[in-house]
Amino acid sequence: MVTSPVLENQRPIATGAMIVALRDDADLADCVRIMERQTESEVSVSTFGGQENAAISADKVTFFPELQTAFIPRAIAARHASRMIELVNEEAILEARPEFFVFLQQQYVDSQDSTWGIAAVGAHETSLTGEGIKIAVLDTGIDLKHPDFAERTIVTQSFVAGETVNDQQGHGTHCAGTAAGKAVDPGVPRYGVAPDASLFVGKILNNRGFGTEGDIINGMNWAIGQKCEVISMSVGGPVRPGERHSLLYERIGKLALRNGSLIVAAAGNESNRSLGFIAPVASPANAPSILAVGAVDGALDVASFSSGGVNPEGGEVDIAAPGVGIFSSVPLPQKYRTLMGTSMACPHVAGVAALWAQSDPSLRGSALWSALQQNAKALALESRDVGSGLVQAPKTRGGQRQV
Amino acid sequence: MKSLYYSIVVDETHLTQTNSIAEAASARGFEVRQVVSEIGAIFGCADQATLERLQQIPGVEEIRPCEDFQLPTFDPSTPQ
Repeated sequence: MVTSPVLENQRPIATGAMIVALRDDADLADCVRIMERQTESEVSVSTFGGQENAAISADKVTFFPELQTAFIPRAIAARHASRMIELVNEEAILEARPEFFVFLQQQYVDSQDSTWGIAAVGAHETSLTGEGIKIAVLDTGIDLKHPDFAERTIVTQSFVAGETVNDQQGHGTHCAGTAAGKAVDPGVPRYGVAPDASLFVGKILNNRGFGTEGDIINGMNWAIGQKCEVISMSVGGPVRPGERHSLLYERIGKLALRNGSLIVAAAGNESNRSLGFIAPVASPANAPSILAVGAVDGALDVASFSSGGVNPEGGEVDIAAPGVGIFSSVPLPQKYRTLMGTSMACPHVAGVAALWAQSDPSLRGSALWSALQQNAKALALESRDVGSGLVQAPKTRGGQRQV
Repeated sequence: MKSLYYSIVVDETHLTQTNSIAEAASARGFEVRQVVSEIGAIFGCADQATLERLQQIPGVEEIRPCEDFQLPTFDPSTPQ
């Protein structure tokens, strides 16, 4: 899907022309005379069905009597710019305002080829696939019998006492799929951002979706020790306004960056923006050395639930990614499911980070963080909500990154 | 007295002594479950009286209740 100008910049863009609305009871001849006098231009009267060629003239004022509206083309409006603001002083004129471009309001949607998230981050437009890059997904594990993972070499480790890495909850398989899933069935759209990345799956949440801080830190430490370039954590605990980040998560975030790993974490889902409530970024995403990911929808608007940069010192949202209506893998027998949440946005960023890491071996740790932020697509939204913008895959041609 | 899970955070200057601080904490009644020496983290459980004894160990910066995590119901209508 091609992005529309509306998605590039949602501010209205003036064409330079003017639109003049006249009073319903204004006399036609008076209207024509006023427009001729004010614009020193010829006025053409255009009635419904009266013209074969309905295009508006670029060098005459066009008056539409049925609408009691006149159109002043750009060249004439520019020539008499100072008079345009005086038009409203005419008794017969109700309103005179600039004309604006009107764009079709587009929205990303899933297609037969790929999910909307893949398209929005540009993963389908690059030859990079994450090959040679290790992504750790720390979550509820993974369904290793899922056809999209069964034939792949996946390094696994369970940090949950008494449970194997097998995912019986579903969250971990969904997140791993978004980061690096590869559909084997040709009827399934592409849903994995970095389908050739090496998956390292650490089970830090049990089959009921519960995890202890000790197991989570252990899992993070394991992923750093495995030299994973990217560590995806769709895990977050609520934080109060003004609450400081955890010392331990900040230390492990720094340790990761020093060792060439980047930890990305879900910003949290505690907001209810429809009621005007914006919750602070959750822990561990609120640690300054962990990249916090907010969620946007298919119209590239911030998701109502997505937490915001309320707290200082790491409490900012650093970047945004697709997090509403996200199709990805889940354990058998269901295979696939569409979900929402910053948990879904986080692995989009992890996958894109893997693509950047593949594009340039110097992009590791802090350099990878910077590349993600510097190349994010600016959105017409507050940085409190989306950080530097929508995460974007590197632009490549013939395997070479375009600078 | 009820035991709860806590994390002991070792201060930056004592990071290399995390294991020996864990041993000292254990000797004072802290039931050590995990030690992540790279970041100076010691996880375990203790009752309130034990916590007061742990504060006196040189190199202990902070003792706080462990942050546990719980995912919401795995459901399309619930943000994950």
